[in-house]
Amino acid sequence: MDRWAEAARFEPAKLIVAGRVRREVADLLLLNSRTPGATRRLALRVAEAALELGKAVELDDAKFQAELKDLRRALDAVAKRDAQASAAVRTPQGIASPGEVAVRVSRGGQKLLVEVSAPAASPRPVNLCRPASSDVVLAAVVEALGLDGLQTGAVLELVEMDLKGGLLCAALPACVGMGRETSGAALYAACTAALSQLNGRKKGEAQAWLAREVAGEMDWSSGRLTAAAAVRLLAAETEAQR
Amino acid sequence: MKSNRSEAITAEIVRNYLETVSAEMSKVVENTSISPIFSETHDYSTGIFYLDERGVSLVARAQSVPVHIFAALTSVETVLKVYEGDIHEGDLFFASDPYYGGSHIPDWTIVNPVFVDGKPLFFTSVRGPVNDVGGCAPGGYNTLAREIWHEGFRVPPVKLREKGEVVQDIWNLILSNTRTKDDITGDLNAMVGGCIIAARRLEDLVRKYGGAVVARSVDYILDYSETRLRAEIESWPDGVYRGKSVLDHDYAGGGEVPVHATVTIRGSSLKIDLSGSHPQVAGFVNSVATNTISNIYSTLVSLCPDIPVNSGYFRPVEIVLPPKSVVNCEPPAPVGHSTVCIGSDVMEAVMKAFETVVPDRVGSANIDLGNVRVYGTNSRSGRFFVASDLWATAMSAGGAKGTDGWGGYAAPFCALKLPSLEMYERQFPFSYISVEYARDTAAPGQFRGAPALHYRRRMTDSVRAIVYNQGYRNTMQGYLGGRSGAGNYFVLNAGSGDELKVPYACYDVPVKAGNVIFAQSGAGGGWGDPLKREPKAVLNDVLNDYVSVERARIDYGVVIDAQRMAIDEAATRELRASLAREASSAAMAK
Repeated sequence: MDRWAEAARFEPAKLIVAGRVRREVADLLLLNSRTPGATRRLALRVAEAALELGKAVELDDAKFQAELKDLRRALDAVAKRDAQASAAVRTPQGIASPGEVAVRVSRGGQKLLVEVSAPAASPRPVNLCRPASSDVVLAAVVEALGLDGLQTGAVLELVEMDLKGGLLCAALPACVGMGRETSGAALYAACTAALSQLNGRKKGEAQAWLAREVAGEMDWSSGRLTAAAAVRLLAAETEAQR
Repeated sequence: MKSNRSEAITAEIVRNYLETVSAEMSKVVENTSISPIFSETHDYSTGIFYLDERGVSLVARAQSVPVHIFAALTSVETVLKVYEGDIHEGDLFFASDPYYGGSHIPDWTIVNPVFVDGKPLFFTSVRGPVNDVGGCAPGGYNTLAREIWHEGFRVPPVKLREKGEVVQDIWNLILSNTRTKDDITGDLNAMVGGCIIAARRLEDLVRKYGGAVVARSVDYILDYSETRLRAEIESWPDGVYRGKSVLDHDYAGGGEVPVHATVTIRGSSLKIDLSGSHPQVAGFVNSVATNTISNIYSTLVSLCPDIPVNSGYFRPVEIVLPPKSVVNCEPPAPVGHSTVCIGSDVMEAVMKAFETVVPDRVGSANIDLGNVRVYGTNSRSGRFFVASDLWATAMSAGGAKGTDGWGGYAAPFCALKLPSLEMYERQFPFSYISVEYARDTAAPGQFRGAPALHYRRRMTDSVRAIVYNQGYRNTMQGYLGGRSGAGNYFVLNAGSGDELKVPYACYDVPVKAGNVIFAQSGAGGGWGDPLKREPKAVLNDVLNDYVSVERARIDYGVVIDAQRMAIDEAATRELRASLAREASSAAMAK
């Protein structure tokens, strides 16, 4: 029906303050989860990972500039013409596809322009918020251009995006529950297809994190998990509770 | 502890002060809140709690909705438990989760500790249902809910302020989980503001009298109510008394849901045992213990209305609730509709048990709530809205000794007000057609119930609707020979090709602009044998079009000449004698 119907919404809040888990935020997370043990473990691990990542990445401007220079060189090598591609949004049975995602890539000064056009927001949970769509585009650029071993956020300076269409720029109250696996996967496929025309690399497939087989885990008419999925979830929860 | 005359007078001044502060708190909320459920309908409650070595006590409350504030006691206790050792001056707490001191998720509770000599001595509190709490169903009443997570954003006790500082990210988390954030932000601020102003008044009180005098006064206040209630109970006949109430359905195809109450009176003590009530069910009518106890208390306070209501009142009462039952459910059972259904069935079952104990004081203690929530985009504002309307809610008052049911509101709602139709039309895409008493729907009795209301409203925008309804079959009961009134039902898109009669529930049904929503909000039960009703009162009912000439004869044994609109005295005497004989024979046959 809408975003609120999908799950509890968590706006930015401090989970850890001065190294200690904050009771209020943790309690809200746990109480709004059917598997609080697994949720707690996941949230804390993500938080730990973010903290570790923060320690590992040096906010060194010289390093940033050097990497940006390398990236521009890589871009110069491939982006000599425009390219475009599109991909249909594949949805689980019973949910109509909202249509196609079209991508056009071109060179704009020292940047790679990625223009995306998508249909209007869908009443079904296949939309994607703008930040999530941007992540997918970046992931596709990194993959398609073979930009391995990035050390800084310089790649953000390399890519300029123009996202159009409510499907990939969903605002409240549009549902987004399956957005990454459906519209996100189409966006990734279209981006990598377009970029592969520039550098001759093999057309990229949707990465595992986009192609989760979530659709098969749930009965979409009732919103209930399949028995096998429920068993897996309970096993994860039991493990976490230990 | 014995108090001298001076201390008793001081205590009475303190009691009145505390009740005035509760009333002021209530006015602050009414005058500063945004949503009409607060500002128009007054569907919230305020109270003051007190902490001593005996635990937390309710010491004062404003005229409001009793089930709210009795249950807020548990919220205060839960805050103290969860935050033991971590409560400071300037802290302000929020709680709503039913399994952490709440009743149902829409009921938000604010708890503000008031420190005296470095310890929390008082707590000011506001509790009331906000208009949306996220979750599957706009408005928080999910008829399809099968577990608590289907009902909205769950909030355990959290701090909204810590040592005087606003905890902004917690505010954001709570408010971002409502569909009508702007309005509810105003409501939450109103609740917080009410608590803070009341806290200042309590600080003034302590400054004026000193902590020791205030503490002694509170002891007196609580002891006084206890003593008065014990004296009342002692005047009641010892014995075991039983009552029953039945909910039509559990919203999950589970059939009728009975509540049984056994009241045992021994000396100056009462025991109320709900054993035998239905096991917890799949649908959202399960009640947490707090809510059930609060509904029991609501009946009890109506039996002795001249005793000050506080925790002292409840000291003589022992309550037994069967575990894993519809009156004492366990997580993750859904509970969204329980504050009134099964809550008011708890009230009714207990009231029925008192029918022969205090016959002059019993009367309809049920709401059997049904309501329609509509939601969509309001074309005048361009904003999403969700609206319920208590005019459409099933709840006419029952009769009681000496008075017919009056108005269109059941007694347990107490200080709730029917909202201004003009204000609702201004705020929502509604256009009212009519709200009127319906003929031959009033429960017959020596003192009859109020007739059912027939409500018609046109939608001026296309919306979607959720209807949840009880009391279609099991209507509000009568007392002492008074009969039940007409039941409740809704009709969506009345008179159109899409017409849908809803006796129980429906979910997310479209209602087009221009279409009509109809509701029959059921009638309260009657009190006493209808054959004892004054014939002139029956004639008046006929003249007022509440009762037809035919039903006057059938239900009341009053024969009215329809041409002259006059009572045929002789025929009435004869008919009443005949009907009394028939009733007597039927009773003997049973």
